[in-house]
Amino acid sequence: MIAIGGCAMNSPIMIVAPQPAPLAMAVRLCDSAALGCVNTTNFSLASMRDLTVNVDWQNVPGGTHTQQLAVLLPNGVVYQTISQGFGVPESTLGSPTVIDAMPVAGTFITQRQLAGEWTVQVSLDGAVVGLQKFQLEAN
Amino acid sequence: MKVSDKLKKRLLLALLLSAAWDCSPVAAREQKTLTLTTAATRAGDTYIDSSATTSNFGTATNLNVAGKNSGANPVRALIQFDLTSLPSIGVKQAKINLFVSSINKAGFIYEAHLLTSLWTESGATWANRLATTAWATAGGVYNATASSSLTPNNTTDVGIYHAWDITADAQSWYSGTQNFGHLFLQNQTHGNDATGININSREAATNNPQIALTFLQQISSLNAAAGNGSVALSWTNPTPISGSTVLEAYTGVLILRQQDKAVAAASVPADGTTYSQCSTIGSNNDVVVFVSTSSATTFTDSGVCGGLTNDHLYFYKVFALDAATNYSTECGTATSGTGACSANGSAIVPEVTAVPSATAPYHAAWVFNTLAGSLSSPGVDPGASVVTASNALMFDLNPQTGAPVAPPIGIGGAVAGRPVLIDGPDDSIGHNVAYVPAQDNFVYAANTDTGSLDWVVNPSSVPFVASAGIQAKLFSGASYILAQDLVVVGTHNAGSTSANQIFGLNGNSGATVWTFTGGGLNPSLDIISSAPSVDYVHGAIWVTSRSNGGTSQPSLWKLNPNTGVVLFSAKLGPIDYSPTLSPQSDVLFVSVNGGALTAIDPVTGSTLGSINPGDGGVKNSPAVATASMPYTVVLTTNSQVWSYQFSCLTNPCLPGGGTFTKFWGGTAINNPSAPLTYSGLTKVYVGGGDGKIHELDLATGVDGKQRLLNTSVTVGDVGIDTVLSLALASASDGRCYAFAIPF
Repeated sequence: MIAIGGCAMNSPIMIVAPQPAPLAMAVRLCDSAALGCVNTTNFSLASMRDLTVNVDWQNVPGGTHTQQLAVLLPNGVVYQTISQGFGVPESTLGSPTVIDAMPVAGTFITQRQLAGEWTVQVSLDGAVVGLQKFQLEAN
Repeated sequence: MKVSDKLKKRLLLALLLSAAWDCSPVAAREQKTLTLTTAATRAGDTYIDSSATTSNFGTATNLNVAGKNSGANPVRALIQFDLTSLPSIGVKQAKINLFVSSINKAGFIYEAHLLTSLWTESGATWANRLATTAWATAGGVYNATASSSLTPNNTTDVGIYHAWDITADAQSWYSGTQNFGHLFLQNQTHGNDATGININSREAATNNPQIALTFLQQISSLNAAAGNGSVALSWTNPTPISGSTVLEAYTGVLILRQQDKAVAAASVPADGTTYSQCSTIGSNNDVVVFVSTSSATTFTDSGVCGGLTNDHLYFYKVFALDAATNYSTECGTATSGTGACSANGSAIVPEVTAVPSATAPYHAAWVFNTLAGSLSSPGVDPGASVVTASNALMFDLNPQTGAPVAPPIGIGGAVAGRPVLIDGPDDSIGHNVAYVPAQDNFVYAANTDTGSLDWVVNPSSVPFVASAGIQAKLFSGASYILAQDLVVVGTHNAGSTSANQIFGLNGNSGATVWTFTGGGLNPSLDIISSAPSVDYVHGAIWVTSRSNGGTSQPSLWKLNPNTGVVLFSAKLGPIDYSPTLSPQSDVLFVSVNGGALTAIDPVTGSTLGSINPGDGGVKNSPAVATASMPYTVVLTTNSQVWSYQFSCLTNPCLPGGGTFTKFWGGTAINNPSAPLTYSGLTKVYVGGGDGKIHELDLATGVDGKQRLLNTSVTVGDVGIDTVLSLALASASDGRCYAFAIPF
């Protein structure tokens, strides 16, 4: 935070403030049926159980936040959204990992073979931060 | 600069009509202020106190907001408004007006944040959002970015209403975001403030919370009639809502058209802009085919702006328009930056489809955009109600017009199955109700007359994917000893192939009546993906499940509805589809994933017979088209539809004594849904992977007529409104479509 006071001057003084670390995130996807979370972007509808989405955040400001995942069908239409709140201690920058899961086995995704290139779009507090594409392969 | 008298009057009028002074421009047709009272069922207010983390203040007459001890002991207010009276509007401005009865110190900032978790007035505390469910983060879960903020003065601003602008949030509630209300907090960067502000709650005697909405209503009763090279549209223009203040007169409509695909949800006419016929809007190049400023209620498209081509699908979207050239979109005047239209800015604007043809023109009865392509089938109460769930929203629709009868109902998690509806005269809760299990591990009961939630329960720590099964006490025999209806739900615990659960819930309260847990002394229970079936004749609940990939554990379960005790189980191989009882309840037909259609004796559990027509084996639940033995059974495989006659040599049927005899098949349909037919119907309806509902002749299997919903979409399971003679289905474009039957 920069505090500026005093009178206006003809020759402004440049105040160089430390830049806040930029917000960043990375998405890891895995099949819940796999041992551990093996990050991959290709899944088989024949064997998949749930899609586990791990979002590794960096430099999240202190406070309460809401992460929203929008999972998009290959045609770009939203299939499902998943919201989850998380907290970062005040006056700190946090690096939490937020984990969500989307059921796949037995849903219309497998029943109707909704194969193709899907997208996970990640938002924080209502603003889109990034996305990750993945492939669901038919039986 | 001289201000004209006309403008002066306009400004004065705006000031008088506004509950709180605001300098931003307001230019739209209607303005209505809703007061939050204790009568509102889909609403609530309370405050939560970090110094009393388990205390609920839902009945308090004051809502406290403070950052006590320099923010170390904050107190926050939660407020949600009931918008049921405004089911279908394009929001232009929304403000929450709160009567502030006391202000401790000046200079403190009070922020409104969009809540992102479901909570209840009677259950919310600092620790919990529901009576027994904690917030993910204590103190409420909300967007960190404030929707708006105020810095009231502690001497001049006491005892008056203050307004927080939540326009973008209210717009989002009509375009895909759940409405869980707002959280109000004191920004904690200004030092110590022991008591903050107090706000009158809905329980206060006067000056209750208000929300002031400025909006355009949508047009209604949109109809299309396709002809040879033409499409005739008709609609009803809005009339002002009772008690609203008219700011601008409705003058007409603007109609966008698109060929072979939908008008984009992001295609929005910009407020203040007049469009000429044949201009285009948005990157989808949706064409303005009609602009009326004379309150027209019909338009016949005979080929304007490039013409209509017979046998092609046309989408029409009809925006209401007012005298100040505002359109019924969910966005303000800006085309970018603050106030810009969201990606779903025109998503809920009424639309309809038609296919002109020289030989066989047709049109949809109605189309409704559910904002997500989850393929969840609509629940139908014939002639009375259509409830469809999509993603984390539930929509209560007028079955005749497809218009929403209430704003979207927010659910805490995604819903994958069909909502199950029971009407008031038949259920034990006493009014029309929809039961919906969701992927947030909760089960919801919604009053479909009001859109409010009757109850929300959390029997499990893992998600629900399958629809619920309902045993209505009214239709049950003497062996059913429970006092209320029973709601049966099964879990999708993908982390376990053995320890899934089935719950029997009290239909009136949601209380758990019984639980069956797989594993241990019980047989292993894998994930459950389809709705349980109720067997009223034999007093049983039938459930199907997966089976750890093989036949080593059961996949068909028969339970006692009173106790949840397993009466029978069978190891048939993994099953994702609901079992289908014959009309006489003497045969249970079960589709094993990629395997055989199997006929089960519902008394003994023995296998009477089975059939696998090939083409990758059966998929989806079968349909039974005859009232008694021999049964005509329709089933689907990967790319075909089949009909078999099932009969038995003896009565009762003996194990292995049933025979499947092929009637017809396989009729080719790409990636078919479950077939729909029943006794008395001469057709079979199937949703396809080709974007169509197919109407097959039950006697011959001929795929005689189709209705194209949209190109390049998959069509979900079909439902039928037997009173209105409509076939309904959801598609992967996120829309629910209705067509008159027979085609």
